Amino acid sequence: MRAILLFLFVLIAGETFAQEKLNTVQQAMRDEMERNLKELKTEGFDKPFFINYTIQDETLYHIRATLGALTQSQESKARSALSLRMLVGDYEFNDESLDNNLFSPPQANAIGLPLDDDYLGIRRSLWISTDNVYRNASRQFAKNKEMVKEQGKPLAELPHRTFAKVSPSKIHIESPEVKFDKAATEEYVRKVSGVFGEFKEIESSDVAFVYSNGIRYLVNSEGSINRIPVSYMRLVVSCRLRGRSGEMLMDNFTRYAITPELPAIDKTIEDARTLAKNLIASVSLAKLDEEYNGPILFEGKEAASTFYMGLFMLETSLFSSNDIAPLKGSRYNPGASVSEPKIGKQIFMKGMTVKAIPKTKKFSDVQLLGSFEVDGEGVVPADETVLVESGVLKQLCNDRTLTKSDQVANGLGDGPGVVSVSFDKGAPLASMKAKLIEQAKKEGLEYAIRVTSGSGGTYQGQMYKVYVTDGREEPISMENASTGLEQRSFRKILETSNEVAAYNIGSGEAVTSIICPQALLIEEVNIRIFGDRTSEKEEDYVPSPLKK
Amino acid sequence: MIKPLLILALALCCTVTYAQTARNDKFLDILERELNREVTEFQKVSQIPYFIDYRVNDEESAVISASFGSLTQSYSVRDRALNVHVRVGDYTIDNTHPAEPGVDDFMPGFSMSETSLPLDDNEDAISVALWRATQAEYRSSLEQFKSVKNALAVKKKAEKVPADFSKENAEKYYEAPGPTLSGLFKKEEWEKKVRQYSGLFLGDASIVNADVTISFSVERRYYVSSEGASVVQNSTSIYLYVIAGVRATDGDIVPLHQSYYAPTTAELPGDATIENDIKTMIVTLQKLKTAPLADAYTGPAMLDGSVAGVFFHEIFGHRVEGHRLKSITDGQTFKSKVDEKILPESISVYCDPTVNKFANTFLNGIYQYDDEGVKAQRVNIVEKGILKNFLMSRSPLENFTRSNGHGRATAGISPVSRQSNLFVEAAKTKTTAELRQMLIKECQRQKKKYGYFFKSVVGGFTFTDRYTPNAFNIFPTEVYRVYVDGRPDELVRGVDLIGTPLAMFAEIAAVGDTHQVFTGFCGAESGYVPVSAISPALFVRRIETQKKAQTKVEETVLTAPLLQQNK
Repeated sequence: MRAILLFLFVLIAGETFAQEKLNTVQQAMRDEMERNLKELKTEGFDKPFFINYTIQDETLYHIRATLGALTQSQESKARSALSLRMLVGDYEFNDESLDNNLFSPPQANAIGLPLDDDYLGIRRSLWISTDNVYRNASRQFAKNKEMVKEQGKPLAELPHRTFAKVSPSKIHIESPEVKFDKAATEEYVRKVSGVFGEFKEIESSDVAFVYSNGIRYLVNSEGSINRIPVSYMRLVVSCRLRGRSGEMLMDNFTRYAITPELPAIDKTIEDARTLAKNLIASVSLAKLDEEYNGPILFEGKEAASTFYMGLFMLETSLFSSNDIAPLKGSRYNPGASVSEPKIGKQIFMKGMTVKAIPKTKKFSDVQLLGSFEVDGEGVVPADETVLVESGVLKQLCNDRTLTKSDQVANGLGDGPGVVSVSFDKGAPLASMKAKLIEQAKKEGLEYAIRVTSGSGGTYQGQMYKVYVTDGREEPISMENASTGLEQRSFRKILETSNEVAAYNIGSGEAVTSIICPQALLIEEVNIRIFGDRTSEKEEDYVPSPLKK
Repeated sequence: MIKPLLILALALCCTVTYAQTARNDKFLDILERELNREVTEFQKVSQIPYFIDYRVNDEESAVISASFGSLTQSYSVRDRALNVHVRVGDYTIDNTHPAEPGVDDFMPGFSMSETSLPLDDNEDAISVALWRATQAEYRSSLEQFKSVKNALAVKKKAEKVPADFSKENAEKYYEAPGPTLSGLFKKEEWEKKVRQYSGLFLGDASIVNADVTISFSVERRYYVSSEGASVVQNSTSIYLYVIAGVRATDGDIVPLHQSYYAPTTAELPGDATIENDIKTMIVTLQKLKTAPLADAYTGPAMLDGSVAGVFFHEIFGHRVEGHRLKSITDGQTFKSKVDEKILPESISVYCDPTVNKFANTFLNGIYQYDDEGVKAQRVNIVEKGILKNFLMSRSPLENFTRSNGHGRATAGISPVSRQSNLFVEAAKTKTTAELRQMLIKECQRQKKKYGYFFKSVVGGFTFTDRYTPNAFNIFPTEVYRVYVDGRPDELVRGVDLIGTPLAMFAEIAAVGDTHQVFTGFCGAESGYVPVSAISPALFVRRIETQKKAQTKVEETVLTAPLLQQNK
């Protein structure tokens, strides 16, 4: 019955293709996919039931400068197969169902994808890789069937992965008109980098611009056919100097955008100056001289980064895991994820709600760079997916590989893209410092800690001791300190701000945008002190040529 | 230590020399100003370095590749790679002196501290990068020199050892800037050509890979030293590689290579020649499909000129690289054999980096000055079978106290002594037909049904150290059995030519009268450097082969899309 349904489905999808105007790349992908789906079969092995091709075209610009001089200016074009996935078997049980090593190498004798829109060249490249993947997939499926047979139990009683059925997506987004002036960008990068020549204390500096402009094509045998523009710009301005003990201190700031339009140069130059000044000033800052256990108030981007850490970087991550317990052999791999068993349980403080809103493109005047319409497997996410409701974990970001019967592919296989973190109540930002002091007093501490994103760089934020006696603030160096956020920290959120802001966290295509309270007060966080990162003070035997 | 010689770069980067002209070079001025400033400022420190040099390879290059008629790569890059040396001590004993024999003495003073310099001629930015690299190198040299002094202090009696650094003339040489990369080639034209060349392989389903790659390079090399050397030279190079592989009936992938080198596009062979070569390659690939796999063999063989060139490069050339002979970890095969007969007396061997062409073939081991600023010169290594000289960088040997212009390295790495254009010549020669007759006769004498004829080669490697067998391995690509009963020669596959150097030299019985050129890149301690080997064919009484490692690929389930369309 399943096979018949699938056949009908493919026919319907095929009709739809015929009505669409495909470009050369899509046509080649579709034709080779259809040929393989129809004809690929070796004696004694099953045919594939699912094929997905994802190809990305990318033009990448790297421009860097230091002290007013270019150190790199490179343009490269690439066309690469991001994904060639083939499944043999069916949605319930296939070649990926049992083995935790899902890698099916398409490399053997691979032929590179042409840079040109060369119909036969693209098909040739896909043909040879598909052939290689099929060989592995069909044999793995035969092996999987044997393994199930050996267990002597119904499949339903064995841990296994299924492949989610989803509606085919047909998304065609035109690439925005973008004018990129390479020469002007080189000049911009040169000028910004020249600022650091004003500071004799700065030992090295770098201004790095990256612009990637491309299109991602996805075609699969279920009828999905997508054309998505993929573009990002990143400008990283960084500088370094040596601290009092010879340790290297650095800071940077990053500007992101989807298009290559850079911020006003005067503003960036001013930011670069501030970055340098703050870093120089940080040399004379006191270091935290003892381990700290107590309340911390995170503000601005530091609050957003803290939320990001709590949601995606700790043990109970909101990403699902595709690992399962192996049927045979070593049990080293524990199998199921840590997060999944916690669905339905409270993992964050009551009143905290987390939603994935991947299609939201802008918040206030902030462009949300993590926004997307369809994930890497061609699954269209809902406009809003509740991940955590009032502190209770509701669902994870799932791809199409499912390890539990109640799991669904929610189009968040590559992450939530844009995530909104909200609380049922909030306090004015201005009042939160008082709350911080109050908590520290309660715990008998001499001071509390406040961390802001600082006025210059964003690399490590700026930490302050806030004395409980008079509220006085003393900036301190974070060089020898490490903030130890733990899962339980997020169950002990004392207060959040009622003002909300959006930030982009990450880099390149791996950006997650977070809309969250501007400030976050956690009841107890441990700050560890490690030994001075003192390298041997490197003596300069000859003065810098800039110090003449 | 493996020293692979790759034919992949069979073409060679040839130096185009320009007339010496009045200098107008802002970048050179910056290098010299910062060097002079460093020298002056270093006079104030307690341990004054006695030598500083800066070597910069300013290279712009482009690569275009196609596979089965489709363009797969087309990009260009520019880099200014800096290599700095700061020597502490004096010419006799400096920081590069082995502190503990056998431990740190293999590559004294070796540095891989590559720094990319700014691409703009911006004095502040470049000077700061030079200064930072100089300080780092000085700190490291100072530490090394402390160890050297301590080690020497505990030695009861100073052994007589060669100096650590040779004194050389401070050369002055300046070439005006040469062509730009865009002046060297037309991108669209060459994209079309590589598509066209690689497209010739379409149509045979058993040919599983077919890549054509052309690389273009425009390089300007700067060398300045505290001794007063100032050398600026240009080179342009174009390499075209054709690499294809066929799936034999047993699934073994058998590769063939073809390559071309020229300094300009005008000097590359024309389309007709290249396409004809590719068609010949396709015919050979088709024959290789059903060619038998060879078993291990020992017996007589004939090496065509290009194979003999690689053979000499590996088994001989690497063993006369001077710096190697200072190391007690090296086999030092020829160190004590100066003025002794090491080859048949009719054979002479020399390296000459000043020659850019042999017959109609461009040689890529050419340069005006080596990477230590020493003028390139011909070195007669073997004269009439007698060992006379070694290839020398500025790391002297006993009785060989000066460099002979063979200190070479890839960009950003410290130079050591390396080969350039290696020539093998013979006073007494035989025609190819005579060599073949000798081969058959020797097979009969040894009661062998056949001998081997090695026609082409892709490269090889050798070990020269004492911790591994002092062996070599040559990778032939086209090998024939020559039968004593008069049967036609039989193409075979899966053969590697192996052996040990001294045993092999003793078996060279005759030399051919026609030279062939092998151009490629040689990889060793100081990176890949372009080299050529020019040799006549050899008849060797006894060689040894072993089975080549196999790469097996299953036949595809479906035929290639183009082939299916054409059905």
